[in-house]
Amino acid sequence: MSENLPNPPFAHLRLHTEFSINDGIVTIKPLIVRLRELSMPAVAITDLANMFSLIKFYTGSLNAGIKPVCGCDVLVESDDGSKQTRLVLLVKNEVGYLSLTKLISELYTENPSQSEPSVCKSQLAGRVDGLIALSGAQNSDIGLALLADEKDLAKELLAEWEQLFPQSFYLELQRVGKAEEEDYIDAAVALAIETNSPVVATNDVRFIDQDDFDAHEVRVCINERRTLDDSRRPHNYTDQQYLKTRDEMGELFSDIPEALENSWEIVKRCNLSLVLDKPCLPNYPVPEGMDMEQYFSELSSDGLRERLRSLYGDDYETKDVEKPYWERLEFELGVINQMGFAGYFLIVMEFIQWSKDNDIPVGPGRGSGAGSIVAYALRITDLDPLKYDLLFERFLNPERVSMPDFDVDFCIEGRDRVIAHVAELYGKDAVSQIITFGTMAAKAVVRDVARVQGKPYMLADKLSKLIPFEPGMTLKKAFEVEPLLGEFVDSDEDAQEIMEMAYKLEGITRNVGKHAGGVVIAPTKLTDFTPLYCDESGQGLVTQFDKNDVETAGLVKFDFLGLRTLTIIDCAVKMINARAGEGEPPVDITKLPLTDESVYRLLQKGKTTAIFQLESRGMKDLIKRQVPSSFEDIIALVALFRPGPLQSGMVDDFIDRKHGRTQVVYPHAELEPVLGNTYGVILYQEQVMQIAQVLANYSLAGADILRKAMGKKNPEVMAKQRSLFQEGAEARGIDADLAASIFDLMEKFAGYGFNKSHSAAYALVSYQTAWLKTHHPACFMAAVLTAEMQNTDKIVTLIDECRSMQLVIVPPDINRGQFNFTVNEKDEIVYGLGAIKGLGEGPVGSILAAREEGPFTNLLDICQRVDTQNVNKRTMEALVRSGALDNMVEGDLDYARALLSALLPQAMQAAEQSSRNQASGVEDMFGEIAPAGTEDADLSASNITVRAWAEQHRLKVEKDTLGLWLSGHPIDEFLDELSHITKNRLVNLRPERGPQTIAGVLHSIRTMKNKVGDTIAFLVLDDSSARFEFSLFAKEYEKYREDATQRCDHGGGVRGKHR
Amino acid sequence: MVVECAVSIDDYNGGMRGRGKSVMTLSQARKRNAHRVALNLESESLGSNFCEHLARILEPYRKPAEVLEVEGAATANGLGGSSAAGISTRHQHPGQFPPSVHTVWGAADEGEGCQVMVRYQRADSIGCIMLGQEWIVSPADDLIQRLRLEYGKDKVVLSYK
Repeated sequence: MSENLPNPPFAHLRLHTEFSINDGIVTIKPLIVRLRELSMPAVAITDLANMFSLIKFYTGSLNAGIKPVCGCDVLVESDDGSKQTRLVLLVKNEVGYLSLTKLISELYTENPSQSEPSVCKSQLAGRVDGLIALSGAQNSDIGLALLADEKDLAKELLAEWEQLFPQSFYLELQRVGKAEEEDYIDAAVALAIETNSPVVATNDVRFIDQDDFDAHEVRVCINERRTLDDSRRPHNYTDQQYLKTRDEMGELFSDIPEALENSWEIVKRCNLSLVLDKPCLPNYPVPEGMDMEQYFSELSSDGLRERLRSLYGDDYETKDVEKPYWERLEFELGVINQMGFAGYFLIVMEFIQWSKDNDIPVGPGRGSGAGSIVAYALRITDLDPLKYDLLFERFLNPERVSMPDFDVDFCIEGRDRVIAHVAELYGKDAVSQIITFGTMAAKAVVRDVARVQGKPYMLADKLSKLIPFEPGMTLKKAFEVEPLLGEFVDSDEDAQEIMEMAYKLEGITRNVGKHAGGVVIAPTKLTDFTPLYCDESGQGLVTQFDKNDVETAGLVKFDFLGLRTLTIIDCAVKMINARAGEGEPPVDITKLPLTDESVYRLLQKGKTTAIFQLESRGMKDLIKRQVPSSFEDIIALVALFRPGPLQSGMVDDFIDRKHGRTQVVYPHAELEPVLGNTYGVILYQEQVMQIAQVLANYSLAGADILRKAMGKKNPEVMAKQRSLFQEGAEARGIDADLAASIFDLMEKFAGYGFNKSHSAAYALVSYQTAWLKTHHPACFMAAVLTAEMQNTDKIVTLIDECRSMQLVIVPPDINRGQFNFTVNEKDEIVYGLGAIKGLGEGPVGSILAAREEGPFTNLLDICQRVDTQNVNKRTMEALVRSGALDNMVEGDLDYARALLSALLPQAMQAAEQSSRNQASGVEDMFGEIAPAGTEDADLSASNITVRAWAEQHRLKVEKDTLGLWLSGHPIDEFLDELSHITKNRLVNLRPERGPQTIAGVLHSIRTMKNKVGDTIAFLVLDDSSARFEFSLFAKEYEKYREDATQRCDHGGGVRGKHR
Repeated sequence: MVVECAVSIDDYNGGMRGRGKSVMTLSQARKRNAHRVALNLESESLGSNFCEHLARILEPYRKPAEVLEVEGAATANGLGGSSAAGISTRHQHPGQFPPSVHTVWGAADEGEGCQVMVRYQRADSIGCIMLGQEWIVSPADDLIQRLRLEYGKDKVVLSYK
């Protein structure tokens, strides 16, 4: 580095990246590239009050041969709280790194309510070891004193700082074109000469190129929620704050060369060497007198005995089945103990057991962890790995040291409790969640930029809506897939302006959040590894490093994922067991036989709506073709339904072989036990490993390395593996050509291969849901409906499914419904009141509380008995519209709802009056509290003339409140009329030579492009007897698109009046 | 939605597959194919100003004068004898249609419109009254809904060719 040093040398020591959030648009990779171009061998990143980017910066710059100087820009509050000034802290060494980590963490954890976290100068004493400070230029307390011409004060302050940072305090000088800059520099240089203090030049960098200034202004405005032409907007930045070259800086400070030289002196003084990629496992508390490994091995053996008992009965020892289990356990324990991961397993075991003990459902496994028998014995997973050929080496490879990673699924509602328990157990200082960074994504950045530029909202809305909604969507991709976007932007100057700016800001970090399920547990204090951050409410402690960086920094991450299906299973099982008759054994979902034929019959019919992993449209098609008849088939389904296998023809091959249309052949006879379950098709990664083991004498650990290499397709590694494989095969006497062709085959399929451990664990959840749907359809569907209560689209599909399952749905009824969907004694699903839009837990809670005194008898009775704090007019209206109050009056639905609607204001008023009377103690002549207005409002139907609602109106408002039509179908009214126009209802539709006329309500539209690029629409008609999908080709589609889309948006009514 | 559709077997999954040729709304289908709107009314449910009321409802949907030109005006063709037969003479406003009328009759595929028939029933007699040619109306959605709201949903029946 030193021989190429420029003269005078200079390094930027004050620079905000995009991670400063408030300002800065420098991104790390381009920064490093530019530094190399500019031959600037060192740089400091000093984001505002955070160290979010530290690991990325540290590793990225070291890899590029640039010296990283780590630091922070902090706000310092004067001790009387009257002034906020700036200070730059730079890390000299490891001690300084820990000081800074601690200091920055405490900005958040000790005083979370500050909107701009700052530190008091007096609090810095003793907490800044190993740090260098730059004064903060004219925004420092010294700068303010100098500009106020208070030289003595400035001198005093300088002395204080120098005492805090002995030999490590620099007066910072900047020339970025701000007011009073030169006055400050003159005074600061004079002060430096007088006190013999060092000065240093910085450029307070916010962006890389000068041209980026405008984009930076927009970024700042987005953050401050201002527009560019806001006259009150502070102008805190200049176009000079870019990454200036050494020459530019040299010229700028040619009068003060020491200021440049000192920047290099500081670089030389900052030598931080972080220990990275060395995981520090947390400790698990073991009983006294035992070491961790011993304890771990004992627990695992005890666990396995339990498992064997439940698999093979109490007399398993007599059955000659246990040997392979013990051999496997011994092998795994050896590997785990030797790798030092016993503590990790124990920690996972503990929180899973705690969850199960505390009624928080846990999934049977996820990811490669299900391949471990130790995990099975410790009840971390619930699947016998031997039975399904799940391999331990796929999870932990003794020949390739990497951290184990158990992803654990929890019921979404219980997950936070598990995290709280872990924090409790290992100490709040040692446990935290992980930060995520929100970036300006395509759809949002367009809106943000347009707002800041003062463009019309409609324009922003249109542009944003033209960008397809898809995770990972970028502006570039949007232009490729949505031609309308390009057309529109070309035709509109404002749109062009927005897009140009949006391109510059897309992907910039905009805010921080919390990773949904990641938790880190530190062996010591967290701040020994990572700085911490928390939001203004003091809640949600997170690491300042993101999920990758936090692992690089040495912490071990545990993934606590939320899986709604677990909540559904739990809820259904509880309902079933609560309803079980005396003497009936309760359902234990973990002990289901996996061979229930009725379950497979249900699957074979493709009736898989609401069944985990098997409910998508494409999956249903696949299921009908594959016809699953065993648990292995379900495992295969999960693995087959991915783009690779579907597109490569693997799926077709698998299905043809299963049904005997193609002969099942094995590449080599010895592979039959390995590939038998998949009819000779190489479907799983585990099979690739086993082939190498069986044919070429690979150890499973070596085979795992081969599998990984095949996935990555590195030609050099592959060539090496190929010769290894061939040598091994030859040693086993296998023909060289055959070995080569098998290797080719493996290579081809390894790319599509799926982790069987994961597939099997998820297939188990699929089977459990399918079993519930088969044997307890009402409870299962009620649980699913409850879980999806807030998702109207889902509710529609699910209610449809209930209807096709011949389940009776009891419509919303204020006297019968609970908050959730429930099942009554007649096995009917009772609509959950919580699913009515506008009724949250509060209102429903009040209704249920009032109902405990007895059923409601009429509208006034409801209004008088429920807590009006919670149940207001809107709530009552929603109840009327949903039909939940139909039984409160006589008459058909249209009349009843019209009447209730008309009576509602009176009833509410009367109830209010009554409660006012009660409050003020007005009594009627009989000494009772006067039920004012009762006689008017109650059953006053006879006094009021209302016209019944039109059927279409009833259905429309019903759909508005429930998301679906429950009391009828909009087509009912027209069926008679339609019989003159159409020949058949949709359910009776038959193929015919010529065209036929069909009719129905437009249920949904989806569009696709065909091979020649025309858009084809697939429309689904619904006439309440059935649904029928038909296509409309480009020409017709264009002609009718507008009309059809409009109709669908309006709820699909065939007619106009109430749309 | 009314769809002209070719329906065939889907070889891929054994189900049926449809290819739409044309799509129209029920209203459009009615305009093409319906020829009569029948109102089934009972004397006790009618107000005293039934005729004026019905005329007001029908008015915006009447066929404009220029359409009627060649057809000439005819008086109601009463079969049972009723005061309702007087409608046509009392409410003639040829050429004075509100703007909405022209939108109702604006499209090319309006068809010929529907004759309105009142099937009237009272304790002692039943009769059908066919309203005159000048009361031919477009069977627009709004009209049918309005009539159903007014006289009951099962009292308004459309007949098709």
